[in-house]
Amino acid sequence: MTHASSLHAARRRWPLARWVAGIVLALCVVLPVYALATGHAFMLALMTRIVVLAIAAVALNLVLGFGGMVSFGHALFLGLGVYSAAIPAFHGLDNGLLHLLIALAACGLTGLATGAVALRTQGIAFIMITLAFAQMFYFVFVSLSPYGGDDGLRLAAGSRLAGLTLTQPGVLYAVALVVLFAALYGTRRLVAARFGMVLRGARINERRMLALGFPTFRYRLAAYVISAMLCGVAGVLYANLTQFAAPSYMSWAMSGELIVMVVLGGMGSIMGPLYGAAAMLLTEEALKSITDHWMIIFGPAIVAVAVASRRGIAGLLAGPAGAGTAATAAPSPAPPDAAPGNDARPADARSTAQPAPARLEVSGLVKRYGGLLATDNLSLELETGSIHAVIGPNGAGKSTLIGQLSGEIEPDAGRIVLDGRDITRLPVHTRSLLGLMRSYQITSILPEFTVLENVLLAVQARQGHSFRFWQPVAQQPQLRDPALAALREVGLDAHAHTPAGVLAHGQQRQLELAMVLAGEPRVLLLDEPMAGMSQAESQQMTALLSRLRKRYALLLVEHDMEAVFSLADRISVLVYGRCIASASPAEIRRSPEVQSAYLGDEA
Amino acid sequence: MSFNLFVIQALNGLQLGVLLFLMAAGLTLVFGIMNFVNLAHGSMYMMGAFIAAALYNYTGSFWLAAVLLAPIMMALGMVLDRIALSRLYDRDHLDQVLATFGLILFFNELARMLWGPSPVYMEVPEALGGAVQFFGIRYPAYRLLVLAAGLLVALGCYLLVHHTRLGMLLRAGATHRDMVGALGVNIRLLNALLFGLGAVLAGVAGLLAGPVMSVQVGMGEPILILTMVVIVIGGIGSIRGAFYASLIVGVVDTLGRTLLPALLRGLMERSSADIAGPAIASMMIYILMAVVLALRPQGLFPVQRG
Repeated sequence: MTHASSLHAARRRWPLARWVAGIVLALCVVLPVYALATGHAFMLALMTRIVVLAIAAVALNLVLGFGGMVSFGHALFLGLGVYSAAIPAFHGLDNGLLHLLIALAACGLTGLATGAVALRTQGIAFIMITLAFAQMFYFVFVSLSPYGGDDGLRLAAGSRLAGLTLTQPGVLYAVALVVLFAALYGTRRLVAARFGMVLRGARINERRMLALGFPTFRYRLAAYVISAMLCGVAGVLYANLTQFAAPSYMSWAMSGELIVMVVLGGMGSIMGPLYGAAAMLLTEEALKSITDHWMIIFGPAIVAVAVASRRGIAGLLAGPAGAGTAATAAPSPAPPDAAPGNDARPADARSTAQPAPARLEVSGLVKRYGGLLATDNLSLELETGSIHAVIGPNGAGKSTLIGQLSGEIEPDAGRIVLDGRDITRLPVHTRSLLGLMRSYQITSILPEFTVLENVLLAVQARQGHSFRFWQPVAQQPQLRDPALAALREVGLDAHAHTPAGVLAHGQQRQLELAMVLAGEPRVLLLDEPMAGMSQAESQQMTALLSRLRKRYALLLVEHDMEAVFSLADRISVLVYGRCIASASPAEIRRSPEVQSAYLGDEA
Repeated sequence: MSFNLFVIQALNGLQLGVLLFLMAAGLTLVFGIMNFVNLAHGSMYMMGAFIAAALYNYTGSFWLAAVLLAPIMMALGMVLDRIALSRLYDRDHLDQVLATFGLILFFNELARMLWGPSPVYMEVPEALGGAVQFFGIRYPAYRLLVLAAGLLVALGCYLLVHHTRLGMLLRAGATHRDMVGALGVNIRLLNALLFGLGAVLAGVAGLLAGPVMSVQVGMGEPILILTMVVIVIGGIGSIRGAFYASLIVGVVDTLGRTLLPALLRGLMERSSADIAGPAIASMMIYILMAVVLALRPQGLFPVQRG
């Protein structure tokens, strides 16, 4: 595809979403001016409500849409923000900056504490715990009788900011709109920056992210706290809109409505929360004008939205499914200046330097599952410059061995020592940063990201300091150059901007290897890299591995015997978790014990 | 705080505990077996209470109402499963949360349309109107019935899950769902039965709670959230865990609300104790949950898998 035609394709795919976004944002500016000029107080109030709740929805979208954390308690932070204005105002403090500071501190600390507990779990438990924490604060405010308890508290005075009072309708709207625009732009930057890449990656494939060396918990917690604080800001604005604070602002119903907004608008899209907030509140108003019992229609409508579609309004605007997740997620990186396919630099002219030599020693490793011995007193060594292959029939414990070496499975006994350092009890991501990296028997990549983005993440993990919230990763040469070098090494550079999910199986295996290489490993643990490959692909992979031998200490688990015997310097044979032979390929070929194990001569 | 009051409050706590168990038994099975987030379970509780009150007022007999309620709730649960929930089995949790949130709004509005916004009162059945005397304590007979009925249902659940063919399929389905399907068991029917059974149990909880608490729109959600706390503490999918955690949560919550304010009054000024007491008391079970999660993220009695 030439440069011009790719631009054309981009223009064809984008216009509707862009136009709608532009029109909606313009309406946000123009309509209130009209409403103010013509005295439509109700219209202005409704628009303010849309904008303020859209800010809260943007906050929720960060954890729900981009981070994949289904928080059913985000109204808690909205409510804390509301009380952060109402309680100081009750005591005669009407400084808006103070209100904001209290909201940021209260939501930040509460988010940190509740997030640290809730994020220890996932799935259903996470949903229930976030809901329970919100309910806890709800009851606390119900029982705070000095501040109105269940009956709520009138906002005694509007927040004053730079000589303006936020309770004035025009002023409140203008401030809310500025905050919303800032939040939308901030999200756009954040999700394309290093931090956002890790957050989104952890939603798609957490195991791979850990294996790359990212402590995903910290990133999730940081996103949760940021989201809580933004929600608190929305709360301060909301207090000035309703001029009232009540525990019901942090009830489960409010949390549910925020989720509806995010999903209706389109999860994990930048503009989605604004669309969702507008669509939901306008539907609500329309239904209210038909019947008092509007929820009898609204409830089933939500069920229908849940059953029908996941992509929401932003997804519909972006065109048919599969038009590229980058379209709904984040601005995709620009194509490289030179067409990558024409880049005919030879593979060995790469910038990757020779890594420091490594030595991995395993001694007396034991892993039991009930009565089954998956690893039986196993010892082996790996050294830079040689390939140690592990073979054995299915169920011999080969993948269990790799799992223990990489840190995903905890051994019952034995020691794993890397360059004299005992790493037996270190977590996966720490081992990865020490240079011990693995590939999986079943390909583990991030299918929604482009090929280049997959590898960028691996480079990023190696460089550390991924708590960067602003600079798009695609524009950072210190990430891009090593990533492209790794792609060149495995021969995938022509596909750099293809979504990884659409690659052929063999190419996905190559991509996984590129990710591992880009993490600058010293020890490579490869779990059946040739599994499911065509003969031509296997031969390519064999050639690649033999080139890599010089640089790394390589452990190869593989069923393709042709590849094993041509590559390995040493072969260990596992049967029922026990190493029955460990010798050179020539000796293994002759060993009667190995032959009987493979030919089933046990009887 | 007299000893008698302590015993009465402890009994009240156990009574809340058995109500929570009736809710938790159905919900934890749906969570554990089907990996399904059903927020509408609280609505089944509310519908059960309203329908029971209507039946009771119409027939004049609490017992007849109880007998009629069971098949109605079974049907309601199974219909709900077929119309809406079964479409969401294989979807991710977010869709399930969203859909069942919509169902809560629907049922709350439905109840408001059918029975009005103000609470409906359900009388304690005449035969149980009195109080029972033991160890010098007077305790309402009806509340003892709630306790006994709850324990009986708990025993029934245990027998069903551990000593019947259906229970064996349920337990097998909890750990090896695909395998049970592959063995030729009608998983769809099993799922529908499970929802129906859960609805019956929730409905019975609503019936039992009716004469003690007021029957009103929105009564399902507070108890749903308490039930979720129970399930998290007990371990998702574990009936045994749900049983113990229900009793723990019921007793801790009830005793906390009565004992803590009194305790704080001894420690600080009366005015601040009157504010802090209820506030801290309402946080107790959530703090308990946080502590359990910090020590054992899988809950106290996790289901053994693998």
